[in-house]
Amino acid sequence: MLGTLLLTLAAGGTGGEPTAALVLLPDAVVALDGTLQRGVAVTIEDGRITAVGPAPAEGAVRVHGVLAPGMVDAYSAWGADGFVFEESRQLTPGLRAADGVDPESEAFAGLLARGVTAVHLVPEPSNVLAGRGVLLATGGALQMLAAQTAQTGSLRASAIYDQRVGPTSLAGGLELLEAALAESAQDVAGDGLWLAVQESEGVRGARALCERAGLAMPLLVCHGDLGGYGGDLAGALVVVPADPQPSARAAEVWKRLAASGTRFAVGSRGGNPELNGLRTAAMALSRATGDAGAAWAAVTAHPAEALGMAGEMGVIAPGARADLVLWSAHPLDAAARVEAVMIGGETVWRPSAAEEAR
Amino acid sequence: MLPRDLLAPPLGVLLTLSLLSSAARPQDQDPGYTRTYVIQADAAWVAPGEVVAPAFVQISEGKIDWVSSQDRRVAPRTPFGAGEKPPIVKVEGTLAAGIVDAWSGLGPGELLGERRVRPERRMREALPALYSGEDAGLQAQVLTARNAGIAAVYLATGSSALRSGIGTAAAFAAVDLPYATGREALDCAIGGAVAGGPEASYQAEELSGAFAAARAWRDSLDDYDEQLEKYEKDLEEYAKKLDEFVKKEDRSDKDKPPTRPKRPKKPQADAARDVLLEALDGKLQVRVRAESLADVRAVLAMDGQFDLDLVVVGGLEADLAAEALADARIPVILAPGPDIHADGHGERSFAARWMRLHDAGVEVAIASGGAEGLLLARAGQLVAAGADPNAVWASLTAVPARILGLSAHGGIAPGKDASMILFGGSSPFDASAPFQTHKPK
Repeated sequence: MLGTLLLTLAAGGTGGEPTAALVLLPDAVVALDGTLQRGVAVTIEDGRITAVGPAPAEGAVRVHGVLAPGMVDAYSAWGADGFVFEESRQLTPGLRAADGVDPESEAFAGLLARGVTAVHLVPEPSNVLAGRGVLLATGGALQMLAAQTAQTGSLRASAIYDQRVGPTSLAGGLELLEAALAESAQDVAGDGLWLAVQESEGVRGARALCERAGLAMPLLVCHGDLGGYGGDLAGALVVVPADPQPSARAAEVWKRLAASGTRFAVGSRGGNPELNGLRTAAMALSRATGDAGAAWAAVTAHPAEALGMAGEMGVIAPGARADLVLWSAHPLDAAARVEAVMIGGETVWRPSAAEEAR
Repeated sequence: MLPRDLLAPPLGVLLTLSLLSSAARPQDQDPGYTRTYVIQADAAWVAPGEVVAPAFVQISEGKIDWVSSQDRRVAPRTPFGAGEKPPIVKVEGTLAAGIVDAWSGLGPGELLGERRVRPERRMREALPALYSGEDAGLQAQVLTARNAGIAAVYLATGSSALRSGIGTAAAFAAVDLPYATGREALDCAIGGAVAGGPEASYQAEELSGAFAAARAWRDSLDDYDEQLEKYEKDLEEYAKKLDEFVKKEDRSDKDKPPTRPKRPKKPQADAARDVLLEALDGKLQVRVRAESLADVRAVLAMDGQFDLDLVVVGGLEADLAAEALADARIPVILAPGPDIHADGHGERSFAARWMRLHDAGVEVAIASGGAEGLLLARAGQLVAAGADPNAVWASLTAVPARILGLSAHGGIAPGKDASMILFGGSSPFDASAPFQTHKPK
């Protein structure tokens, strides 16, 4: 019922025409600290949130459920038409994931139904420099939110070592990276560099190279045993693969890293391959760290920040995109259901519509 | 000064002692909990659908003494008058029984890493004694399980061999090692669940063939007893005849001595077959890893053929034979695993499969299959998909406890194990709220 209401109210929201403000008053919204806040109204205008605050005396639309920002998959393979990679060359910085998008991908509908409103599709991280990612909305009128995101790559032994074209060692990988950056650092990685790593040497080597090339510090996509190089990650924003079932050690490492100020952004690539993987990973993170706010941010605000869109996405705040999900309970409650999904102020999914389509 | 030999106990005595202790080890283990105290919580889920609020739970030596909505502490009598009441620990949230994981990945590496699988190997004999540090790897596994809210498990000897051994139910001791309690079971796998080879398709026949052979052997044992009786009679007869023959005075060449009867051959004993006989006698449960409908039907056929206490493990397509399983009273242990079928094929999702089995009246347990962290998330998804929360909770606690014969698990009541969970939200499925596990002191 609520979904229908949202749909009706937001029906005029497509096509970029300015629309009248919509003021939603849900039972609660998920606050930044992960707690539920009641009595908060969210005003939506032209696809964005324009105000968040106490409910106005009249004009607000009451909706049942918990309103939360849509989840953002920080590092994913969703929406690709096959594998986006080039294996005959050592470096492929010019590859664009945007060219490998399948607009008809069935994954989008599944992700929407699970509360994921944006995915960062990156090329296969099988080269030291693998190419640029693309930020996609999982529904709505506009699919590509950013046609070209940061340069991505990898210093992971298992991913890049290739006997035919090389490199065959981490030192070789770092050498290749240094040569590429010396040639045209700004062209290659001026918009940022996301590097998959799995040990301390890779992290330190990559940071030293970026410093010498005058680039910002790379964003690390952390694989393997984070406890083995946790000292290098303290205080940083890092991407971690979605892990719904950490070992006792992994959970303890997450807890200690969180305590040392490390912030996580979760990506499904290299982790749980399920459409629901992001949320189950956030639940595991919440259980391990005891910090529901940080765990929820790991699938909303932190991926947005990693993508250079802090405050624009993944939060319920004035100025942010109206990519919102209405849940039947707190989204970190496994028993919660998605009641409706809005992208850019437009209601794009509700359960009844999905049932009709089946 | 005494000679050294008198100070040190003789080696033989030591050996005998250690043999005795290892023989006694699997039973009657002391989990090592010592203290008596009371936990006061906002509420307690004492059984699926039954809530006590507020809740006072007295625990001593790892077991629950009593549960009440009032403080019923009594000062113990001592020779010097009344002693002190047990201390009270006040906590926020709701207590619930620890989860019983009827299909875990836990086990001593030594046993699970054995290259040659012997059907007669026993988990109980391979469990480490309860000394801290004895099996650090296993301790780490127990810690992970405990963090996920698990209080008891089934330790399987394997799940991908036709007959991989005899596993056991187990609870956790103070040193975070498992100790055997509850039932033992024969771990079997048939069909697609068996690792390797084209022969996988007729594994089910091989398994029931083995049971049939064991039964036939026992029958032949009865025949042997009969033959032995006859032989003894024949022998007496023979002795008589021989005596007559020897004593005969007018013996001619035509008189032949009587022929000595042949002793019947004793059927050979075989440890692997003895295990099957234990199962046929109802001393061992038979857990069969069966995923496809054909394999589940093979288990149903075995149920008709033999008097076995069968359990289906895995059961990816068990829901397609839900009514037959309910009629045969064969429980099913489902593991959530990666729910790839939920993506685009809702009718084969974990939730849909669980609901079909549950609605048909099958006893369904939800187990981790080694993925402890997913257990509560999956259970919550079941509730989101419309399942009755109490039935889902039973599927994680009371039902698996019953299947594994763990009478001290699955609820909060006097005599039950005090390994519990404490959750802050409306249910243990809410990961936005605090969640703790209570390890007895």
